[in-house]
Amino acid sequence: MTKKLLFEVIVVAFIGLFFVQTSIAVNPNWKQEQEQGFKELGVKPGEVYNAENWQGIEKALPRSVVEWVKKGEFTIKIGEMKYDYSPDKLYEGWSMANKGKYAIGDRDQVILAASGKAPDYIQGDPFPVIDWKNDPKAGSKIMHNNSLRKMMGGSTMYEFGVLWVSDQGLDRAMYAENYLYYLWNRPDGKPVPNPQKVKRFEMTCIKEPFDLSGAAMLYHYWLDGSPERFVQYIPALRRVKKMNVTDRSSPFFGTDFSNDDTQGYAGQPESMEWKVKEVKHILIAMPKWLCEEPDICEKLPGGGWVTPAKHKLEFGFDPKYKNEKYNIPWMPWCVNWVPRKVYVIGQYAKDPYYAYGDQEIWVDVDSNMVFYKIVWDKSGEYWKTLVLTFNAESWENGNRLSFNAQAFYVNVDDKTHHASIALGNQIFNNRELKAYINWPKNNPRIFKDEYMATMGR
Amino acid sequence: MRRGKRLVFMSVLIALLSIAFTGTGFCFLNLDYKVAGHVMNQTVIRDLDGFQTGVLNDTDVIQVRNELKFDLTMRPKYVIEPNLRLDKVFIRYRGAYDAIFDLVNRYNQIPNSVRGAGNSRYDLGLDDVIYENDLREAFADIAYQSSGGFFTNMRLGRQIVQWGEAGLFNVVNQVNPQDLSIVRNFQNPEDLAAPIWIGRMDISSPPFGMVNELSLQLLYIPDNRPTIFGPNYAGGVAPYGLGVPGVNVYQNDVSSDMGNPQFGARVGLSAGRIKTYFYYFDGFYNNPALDFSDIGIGTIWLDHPRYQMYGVSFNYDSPRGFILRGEGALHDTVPFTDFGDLTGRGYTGHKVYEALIGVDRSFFSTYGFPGAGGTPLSTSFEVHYKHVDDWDYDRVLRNGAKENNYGVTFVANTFFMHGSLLPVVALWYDFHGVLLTSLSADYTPNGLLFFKIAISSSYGNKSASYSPIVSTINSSEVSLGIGYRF
Repeated sequence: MTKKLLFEVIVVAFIGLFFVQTSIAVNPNWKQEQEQGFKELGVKPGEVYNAENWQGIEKALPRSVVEWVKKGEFTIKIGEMKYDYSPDKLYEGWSMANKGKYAIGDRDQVILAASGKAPDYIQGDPFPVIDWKNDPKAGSKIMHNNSLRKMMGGSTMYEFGVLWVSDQGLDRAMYAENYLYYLWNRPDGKPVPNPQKVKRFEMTCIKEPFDLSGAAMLYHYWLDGSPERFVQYIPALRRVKKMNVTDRSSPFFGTDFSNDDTQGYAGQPESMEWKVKEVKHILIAMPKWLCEEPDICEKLPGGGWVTPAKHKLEFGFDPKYKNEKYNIPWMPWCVNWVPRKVYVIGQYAKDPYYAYGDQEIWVDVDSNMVFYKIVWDKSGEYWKTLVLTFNAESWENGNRLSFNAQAFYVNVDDKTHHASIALGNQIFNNRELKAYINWPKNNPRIFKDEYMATMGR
Repeated sequence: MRRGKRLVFMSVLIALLSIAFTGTGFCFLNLDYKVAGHVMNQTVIRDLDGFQTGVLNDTDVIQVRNELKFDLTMRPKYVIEPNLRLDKVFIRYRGAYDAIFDLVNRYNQIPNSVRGAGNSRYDLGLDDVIYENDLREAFADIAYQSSGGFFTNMRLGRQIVQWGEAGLFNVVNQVNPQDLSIVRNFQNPEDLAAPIWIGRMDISSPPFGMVNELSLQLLYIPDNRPTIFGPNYAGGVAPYGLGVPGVNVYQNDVSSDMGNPQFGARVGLSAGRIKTYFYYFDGFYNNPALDFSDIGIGTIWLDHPRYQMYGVSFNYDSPRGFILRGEGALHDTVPFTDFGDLTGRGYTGHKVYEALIGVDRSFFSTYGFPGAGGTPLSTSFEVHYKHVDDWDYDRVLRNGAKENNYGVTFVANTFFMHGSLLPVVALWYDFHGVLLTSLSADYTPNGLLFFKIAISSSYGNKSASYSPIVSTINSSEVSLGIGYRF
């Protein structure tokens, strides 16, 4: 009897190990949850919704997106995920080890629960368990997790484009590079020296068009959550100019994006108040190829991983969609809409000079990425909606899965009926936009005013 | 001099090649290069007595300039990035043809070589303003990243170095002279600066204590170039000449060679919300001192005496939503026109103290400004003070400046039409009673095609000879541009 039991335990353990090795999923119930999503929303893969049957997805999308469908601007094709779109097991392990270790301080910063002091280093999500119904700081905790999740790929450089799109078509384009170095959440789990007490460095360098090329921006995000340092290199002046952090909410080079719109919210979680309103299933936009599998990154000879950039990002301004009945130039035709469970979180700026009024972000429960952001102006009038998609990158030979950068974001200003699109990681206009993950070229030494100036001219 | 330059050029080239093929740099994979630029036409209409006496009632077209400008940026891509490496090579070319000199006869008297062959490089002739064929900038960056966190960059070649925090005043910004031969003040600072050959080294430290970054910049400048003006010949003055009819105005060049260089140094310190720089410059005064020694033979010389500048600048990022910035400098011998000068040159050197304080602030309305799509109105306000030491203003002998001089500037801009339209307003009020205004708008419907309009005009006391902007009252300008970026 004992022998039999031992045999069964070993067999079960082997089967378990097999699944652990072949899958990096952390949510074993993801398929059932997706089915539950279809059931709750009353939609099925392959269905198409547009101005003729918009009522069918009325409860599955933000109000503004439903209006776009109703007006005949958006066509929603339902799809399904074929894999677990959530972080890898290694990351999940780090996160779970943080249970009870951290708390939220008086400035909404992360503190050590035991001592009340600011942590020098965090690995994994600081708040792996969220009690969104009873914890008044749940929103803040989710956004701190979100800020850590974005660091999963370690030092990253991604090439990206920003498009200005009017209801008549594509107006113009800008191309740039974004350099990121994260001192928390190191990919190997090992902290690096951090004498400046920085959480992350970020540097953006504009490459095209000619009148903007050479401009660059550098951010230092401090460990204690105090307002970040923001400087800009202005090539026409050949000077590094100090910028006020309030400028994070003003338009990024005249686009519909502000700096803070990157990844849904790129600022410090401490600078906002967050309130979870509800948790529900909704439809999110997911690039068709990402529904099938994550991007399989290639190893670089000098270290690091690079995304393959082999799929085309296509939008309504492409001539091939000009005969589509329900279309607008910023309609993303390269996506399916899949059910996901999200936190709906109210976002309120503490800075009275912040340009936006109330905001609402919809954060995916499993991946913790922001898939919608809705912005009201300071008078309380609805202003704009961002639809965000995040590339899933499989690297370290399939052992890691991260969501560092956008596939694309569409930001629609409904007051002026104009949009901007940020894109990366794939092909646009015959241009390969790649992301370099855990890239050794990014190191703290390059995130300096003087180095930024040499990146310009 | 030409031989010396060639030697420097060859040495730099050999050094770059050596770095690229040394043991650590041999992993040079390939070269990532990018070309971008524009072609544009700019037409300038000048109101010859200024808007103060009637808007566009007495006009001449003074420029029909067709310009090609492009940048070539080359960056080596390394498989494994070496600590010592060639980081970048940058070349900017500008070529132009100004058709106005072929369309009208009024400039025909200006010769192509105003002083004959073999004379000053900086006394422009007619050819120099009709055609431009200039490799404006050409430099290479050689970077070294030490394992200790120090970053060193050597930038060798023809380049532009801008110092300080000021917008419309040059308090500590003394390295590159201005090229005023084809444009006015208020233009793009990059186009206004005359690039010069500089050996430049920037070193920045890793953070320590409260300090984010300590930096040092050293400049060795063998290229002694003065502020450049359009041709000014006894028989005629080009549109952007100094404007002394009947008199030849010649540059009194300072020799440019390795034995007669200018030097500059800048130390920077960044800690918390404040960043400050200290400056030292030992060079030749770029702006001209009018030397009347040869006025008897119809010639005014533009002298450029040697001087030193000691300066400081800072910026502070206030948690209340604005940037406070400032500059201060002591220039030890600045020349001022002084007909009481006993040497007969007509100018004397004086210490000049300058200070500037500025505030940058963005203003948001409920939903941006009308049509601006949420874009704030960005504003800058500056107050400038200049004191000329040991100076006794005299209405006849010393009327070019006063002992104490005050000015304020205000600049505002915003984006309309989602960044397609950029209007800018700039005002400069000199407390001697002159107001200079500049209104401009750039419109780019698709990011490639662009249109520009700029209007500059001044108003006030025409007899305030001591105001630095008084001469602009009599020549308001409207410039119209159209171009295409690639």
